[in-house]
Amino acid sequence: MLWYISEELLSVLFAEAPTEPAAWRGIPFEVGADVEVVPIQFLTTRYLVFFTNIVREFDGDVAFAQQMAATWAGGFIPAERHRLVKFLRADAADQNTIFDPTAWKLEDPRQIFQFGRLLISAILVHAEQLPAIQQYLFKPEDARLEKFYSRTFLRNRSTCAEAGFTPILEIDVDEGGFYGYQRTTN
Amino acid sequence: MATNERRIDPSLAAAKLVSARRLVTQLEAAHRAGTLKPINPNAKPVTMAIRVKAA
Repeated sequence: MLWYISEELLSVLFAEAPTEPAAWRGIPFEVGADVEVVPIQFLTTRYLVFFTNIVREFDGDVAFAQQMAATWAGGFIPAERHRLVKFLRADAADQNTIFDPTAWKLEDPRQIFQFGRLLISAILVHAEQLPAIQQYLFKPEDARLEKFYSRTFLRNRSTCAEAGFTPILEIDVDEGGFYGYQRTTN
Repeated sequence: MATNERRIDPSLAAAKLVSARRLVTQLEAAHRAGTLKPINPNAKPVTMAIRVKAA
């Protein structure tokens, strides 16, 4: 039994994923109001990239969500139409390994760069299909994720710029906030 | 440039799990209700070869 996810559901989301090791990006699905998911696979490990509005994290309490977001990021308040990006290992059987990179180690440490690019690809296809979304935010909760987001953020700036996004520079990541991109077009 | 000094905050880690559980539960519920739909049914997945092979 997977962690709150059925094999049946994963077979729908990953219906076209290759069985051999590959970097695969699926298509965006609407889960509910302000919540979407994009399935991705790296090597043979499956992941779900979720997109959600911070307000959803606080049961729709807009004022409280803005207060919390500002606390996390030195006063920065996300745009109304934003998405917080979260990814997790879809095949995790328990909560102890769902976010633990040691449970889904890459074959070679250098593969982390392609994995980061795959994650960016999931975000870009989401942005393409939901043009009203103005900002994408990433909130690292620990040092390993911090390092991963930092590398991904820096190495994919040109790709994001070509897609019409620019880094949100006013967020002070060192103070515990977000990494983020915002649209420069429309 | 971010530092790598951020440590795991137990409250944040717990909140992250709660958030993840909420999202996957919502995803499973949408699947069972038949409301989980592609945003664009004509969209196509993309497959790329792994560039760095295992040593």
